[in-house]
Amino acid sequence: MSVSSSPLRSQGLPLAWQLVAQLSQFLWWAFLFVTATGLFIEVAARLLRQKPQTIVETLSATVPDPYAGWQLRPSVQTGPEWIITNSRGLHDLREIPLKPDGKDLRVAVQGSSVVYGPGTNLKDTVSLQLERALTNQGMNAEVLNFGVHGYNLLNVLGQAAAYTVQYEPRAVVLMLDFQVSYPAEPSPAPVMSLESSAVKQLSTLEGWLKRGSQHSVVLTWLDSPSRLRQALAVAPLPLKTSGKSISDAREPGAPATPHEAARPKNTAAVRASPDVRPASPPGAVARSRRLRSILAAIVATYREAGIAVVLVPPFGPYYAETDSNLARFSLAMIANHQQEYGSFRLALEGELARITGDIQEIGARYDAIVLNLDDVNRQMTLATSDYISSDGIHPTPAGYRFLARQIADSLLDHLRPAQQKVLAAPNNSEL
Amino acid sequence: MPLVWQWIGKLAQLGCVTVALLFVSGLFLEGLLRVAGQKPWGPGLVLSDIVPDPYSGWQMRPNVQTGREQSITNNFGFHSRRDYSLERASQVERVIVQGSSVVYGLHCALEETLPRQIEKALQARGVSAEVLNFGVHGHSLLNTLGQTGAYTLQFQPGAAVIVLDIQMCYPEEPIPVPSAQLSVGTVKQLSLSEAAAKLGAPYFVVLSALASPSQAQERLKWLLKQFGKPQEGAENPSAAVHDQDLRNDTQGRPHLAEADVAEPGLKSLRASARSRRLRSVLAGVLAAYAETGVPAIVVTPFGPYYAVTDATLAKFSLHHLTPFASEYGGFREALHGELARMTADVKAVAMQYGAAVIDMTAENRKLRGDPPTYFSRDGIHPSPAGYSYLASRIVPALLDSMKSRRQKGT
Repeated sequence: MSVSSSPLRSQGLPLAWQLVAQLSQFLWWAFLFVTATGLFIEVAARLLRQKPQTIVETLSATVPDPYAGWQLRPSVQTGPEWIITNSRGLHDLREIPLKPDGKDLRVAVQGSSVVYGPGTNLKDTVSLQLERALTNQGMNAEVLNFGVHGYNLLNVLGQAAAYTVQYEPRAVVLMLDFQVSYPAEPSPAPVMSLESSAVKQLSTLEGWLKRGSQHSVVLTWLDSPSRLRQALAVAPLPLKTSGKSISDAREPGAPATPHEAARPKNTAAVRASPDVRPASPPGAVARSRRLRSILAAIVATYREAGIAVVLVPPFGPYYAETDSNLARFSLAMIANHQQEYGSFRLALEGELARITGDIQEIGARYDAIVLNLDDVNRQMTLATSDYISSDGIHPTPAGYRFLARQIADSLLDHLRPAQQKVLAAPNNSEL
Repeated sequence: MPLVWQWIGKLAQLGCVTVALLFVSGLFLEGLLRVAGQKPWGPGLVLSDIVPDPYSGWQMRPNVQTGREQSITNNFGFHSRRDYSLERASQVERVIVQGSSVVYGLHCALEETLPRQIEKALQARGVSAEVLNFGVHGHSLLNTLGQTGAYTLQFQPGAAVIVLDIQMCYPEEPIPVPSAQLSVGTVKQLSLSEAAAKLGAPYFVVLSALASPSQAQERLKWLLKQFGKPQEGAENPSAAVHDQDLRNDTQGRPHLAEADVAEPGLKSLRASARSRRLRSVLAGVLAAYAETGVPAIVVTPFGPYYAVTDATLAKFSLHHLTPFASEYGGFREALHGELARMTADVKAVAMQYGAAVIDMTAENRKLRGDPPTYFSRDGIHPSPAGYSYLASRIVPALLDSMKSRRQKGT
């Protein structure tokens, strides 16, 4: 339609407003075209057995928290078992009340994804295996999984003081893997955004797209272009099935389960226990001070609340493993100190010795139980043991079972005298 | 062209005319207000004083360099005009003072705040000292624990002073349900229009009024009353309300003792639950310092809590104690009972973790008057003279700790 022939001229509208009207008309037709095309693609994709995504899998597994940095997204009740959380953001199918009603022993296990158990069935996580180990020894026990992806000791401190103590556990197990043992030193300059914890605030448009993607394949592809690439890459038709087993459904970057792990068969390079410990470089002193300081704050907080603490040092094949396997381990925090020690292996052994020593010292000073894993760490390799997955960090179900038994034995040794006293005395803990 | 497109064109025309009209009216109003002596308000009044923090709950908004002196903060959010560095200068004794708005110095000039008075007193004794103000509005010991673990140790302090007021001694127990929407104190996520008004507020009186209606009300009342300057040193009503609101909001959920049961047998159990919480969190703070070799000094609550009349006491901002009145048989009894409990808890924990304690109980018993000696009317925040007195109690303890550290060669 040309402007000169527009009936608007006869209506007396100036040229600028005629252009606005024509632009609106154009946009309307464009909108209709995009909608019709989208619907066509949607129907075609459905016919090719494509399904929209479950958005809970695409959302961040964590949400910001003002004391612990971040916590697990609560109430994730759909999707594979490894992402399930209850209403309090604990990796558990059960809803957990704050008061441990009807239980003789409530234990909280804190740590990173090593405690959470990514890629692991719930029943195989360290918390539920510990619960079974304690129950097998005659305790009416309940063990809560406070593991959160990416946590270090600074997060654990906030979680402990703000939340864990509210659950009134009688004991807390701190799983100190390498990542946890390097407490962060966040920038002290205040910022308005909390995106430093890798949790991203979606824009309004991104939010709509994310919400819509659970109902539409087209929106799924717009939200996650990798899914479109996957769909295009797979041939012949049907492109892909949506069924996922729990063992397949691993978090991105999560360890393979032992069944999936490609185990190295060459054990020729296995090293014996080192006779000489590497000397601590100057930077290690500052790292020790940082670790001891935060660990002491956590243990002291629990001690004053009358809660027993079990400290579990790093667990893994860190002495006898082959160089090629060591290179594949997720140990970036050790690689940072490689230059200080002269080699990655020396750094690993040196830092492990330092961290274990710091944990033992704090444990002794503040009456915490410290698990001794030194012997098992020295003997373990991926080839000779099925305790650790190929990332060298996350235990396998068998590894979790081993740890759970060790923790249960130590804890019961510590608690039994007190338990007998409580059973002998009249019950006065009614508050 | 169909009729509907003609209407769209006319609607767009109307929209433009309306925007132009509003703009001209706004400019006219702005001109009137400027002639009447009004000025745009600084960001310290319009924006929240605090920003969310992932470890200590919240921190002071950094880089507030304009507006009233009470709002000034430096690059790290400290209430100071000087910017600080993480590295401590050699030969300088660095002391950090942690606490709530009592340490921040809510109603006084920068030179009169507690950290500044301690710094001046140390310098007067020949010590090259730098005292950092880590006071944050509304903080309790839980916030202080997060602040200690995440930030204060990075500043390599030679000593830490933890000033406990009554609010600090009730570490909150936040709701243990994660939320995707971060809600901290009175920090609020602004809508687009609210944000636009706030951003424009420092430049236009009209936008200042739109951004902060409560301030606008106050100023309108004042404008109607008189056409002179506002009273020097008058307390900013919104700031006082803000701090109060913050303390109310951040409680999150009731403490164990706030249930409405007042059976006598439960009194000691409830007090012991509060004691356990206080001891637990304070132990965390002191253990963190003890392990890094930083001497800590804990100051027990300081305030006119014994010798003032009931009428004066009723004016104090002591809402934390109200729930315990039925437990103790009266508000005054609850105040005295809780103060005694807190002081005993603090002493017990400090002894265990090698910290020094400055017990203010004897001083508290002597303070009287309305407003009480050394205090503002809220009974919580000391006056400049009160800060000066408090500094005079803290400085000898700091000098002792410095001497002891020098003897140990650390």
